Amino acid sequence: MIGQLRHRGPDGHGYFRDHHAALGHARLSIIDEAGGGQPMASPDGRFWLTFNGEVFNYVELRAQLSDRGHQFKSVSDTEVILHAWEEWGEGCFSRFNGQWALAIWDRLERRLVLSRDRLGVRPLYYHLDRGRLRFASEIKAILADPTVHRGLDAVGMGQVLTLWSTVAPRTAFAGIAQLEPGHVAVFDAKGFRTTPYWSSTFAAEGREPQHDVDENAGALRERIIEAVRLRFLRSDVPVAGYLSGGIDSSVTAAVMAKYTDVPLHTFSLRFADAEFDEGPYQQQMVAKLGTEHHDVTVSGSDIAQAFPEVVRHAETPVLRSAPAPMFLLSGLVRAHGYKVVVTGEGADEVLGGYDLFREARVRLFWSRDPSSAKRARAAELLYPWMTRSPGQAPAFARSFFGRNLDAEDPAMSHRPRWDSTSALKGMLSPDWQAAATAVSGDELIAAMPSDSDDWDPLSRAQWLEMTTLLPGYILASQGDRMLMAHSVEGRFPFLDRNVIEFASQLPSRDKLFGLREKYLLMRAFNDLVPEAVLNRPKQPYRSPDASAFFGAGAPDWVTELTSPEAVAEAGVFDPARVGGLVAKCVRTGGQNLGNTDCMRVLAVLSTQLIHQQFIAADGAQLPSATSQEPTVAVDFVEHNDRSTK
Amino acid sequence: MTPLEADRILRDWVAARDELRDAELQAVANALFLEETFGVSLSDVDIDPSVIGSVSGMRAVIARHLG
Repeated sequence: MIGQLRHRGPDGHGYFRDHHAALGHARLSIIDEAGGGQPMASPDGRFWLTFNGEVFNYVELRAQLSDRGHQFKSVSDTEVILHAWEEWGEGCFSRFNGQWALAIWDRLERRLVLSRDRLGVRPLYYHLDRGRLRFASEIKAILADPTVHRGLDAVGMGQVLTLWSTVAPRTAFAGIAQLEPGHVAVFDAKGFRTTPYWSSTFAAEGREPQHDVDENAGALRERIIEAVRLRFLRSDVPVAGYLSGGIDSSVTAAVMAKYTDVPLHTFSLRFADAEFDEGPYQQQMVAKLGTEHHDVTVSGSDIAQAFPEVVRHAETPVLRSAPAPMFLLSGLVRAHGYKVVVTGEGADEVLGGYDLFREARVRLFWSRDPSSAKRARAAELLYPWMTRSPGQAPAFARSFFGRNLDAEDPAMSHRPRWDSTSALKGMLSPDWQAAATAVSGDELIAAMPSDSDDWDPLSRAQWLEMTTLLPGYILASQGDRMLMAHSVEGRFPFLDRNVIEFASQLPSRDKLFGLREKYLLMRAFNDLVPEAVLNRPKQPYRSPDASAFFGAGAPDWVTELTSPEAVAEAGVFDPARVGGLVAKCVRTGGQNLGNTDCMRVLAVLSTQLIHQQFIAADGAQLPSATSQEPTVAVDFVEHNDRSTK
Repeated sequence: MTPLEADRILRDWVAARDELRDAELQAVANALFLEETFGVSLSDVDIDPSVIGSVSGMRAVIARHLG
């Protein structure tokens, strides 16, 4: 199992085993490179910990624990976790400010505890079968056990083909679950159970703490600066930054630059296709900050070439090619010797930056009088191209944004996305249709917190986004997995607990002011980010989709995996429908396809790759076990207590 | 919300909004802002450049709402 995770931790590995449990660890050494080997034991040997991630406030926690008499042998955050567990038990997790997936084995009580960070930055999967629990940071490690059934999950597929990603605890694999973000799991003689230690919540509408917008901007700035500082300085290896050309990473890079006397290294994606490229904005920030800048220019063929490896790391079907450029970018970071980057992920969810939030506000405005031609025109405010094509815009607005204008629907914000994405299920084979079609998003609505009726519409939309796409796609397929594929750790200041908890109490007008997104963030950092970047038109991160896989230079694997035989063997999609889609793509070179067809192409290709690499493949085809000597080896089964370090 | 606070928010809006050449569309944008921020309810007659196309017009609508 450890060998399957070598990319997540190439700096060493270790294991612990007694007669009831075994823990393994693959280490990416960032803090206390010499003393942080894992699994790590508590001083009395009762508790054993394996931990992936960072607890950024470990210095402050260590001081608190020292005051209570705890003594430390190392300067690692890992040891602080063990002492925090001894001192506070499960209450320790709500004190952590960080990103983690961890397991603690209690040898005395024969109890295993799993914990995952608040928003799901770090992955944690498990498989429970006949009283035996297997867990790991990636599914491929669980599948290393040949007794584990390999198959896709129909409901998980239904979630991807509706919500754009699976929703924890569901995964795309049958029988394999993921621990929900902000949860603790306990496994002992009484069985397996999970409980939340934290949940995303918002202030009731109209009862938000009332402060002046400048006071709020100042308080937000203070929290973001502290969040960046913790993530930049709490590392024993150099930390770099991503620079996308948008405001979020511009803010994090600008703040980081304040804490270093040497040039900050920044990394960017560029696209050969100008439609997706943000190079000019990146260059403006580079010029302002004077960073040592590196970029990689990605073409459609680069995406197609990398895609099989991307899917192997993502471990889920995807509807966008956007993870592939992120995979190539993390490769660039690693090639320059960096293994930690700070990025701007999370700002859109926490501070109201997505187009979807703007669309929802327009739909709400329109829903107050659906027959009003004036209100219908609000849809033209969403995108510049709509005002440039007045002949088509009203028709598009009526047909897309004007559907189901039900202000009482808690998912009013997401319904157009879910409904249009659900059209992809028509590609499924009859065997998969029923279970997948049962997923509508309504089950998610039923799971919304009981007080969410009191939240304003933007907060409800934020909750949905932070429960679905953030952990399921942004932080996973496009985040942790693409970073860790090249042994790079991402750090996300906008997901700092103090930033999130502050932002969730803000009035919605501070986040989405009219239709101006992330208003408070712009106001808070207008001295550090150039005007042109602050006020640039919003450009969602996108990359070439279907066109990357068809036309001249299309890779052979596309033809092989979309053949009727290959599609029939996988069994998920209907071969005739896939054949029709492929014929259309071949005819057009994948150019000028609609959004739904692009998503169909990506869904089919990624699912076929999942089948080829995980379902049809046997263990021998998966990466081989590590050949390194372990840095920690404790085995109470074969030896009474053999350990090396 | 006091009239003073309302006026400050209105000034912030005028500074932050995209300036649109289409006066009717600008009135729609202003209407969306007014309803969302101040909880006012506007009729189709109100969503018009002659009513809320100017800062003074918007100020009058807010004043009417705040009483």
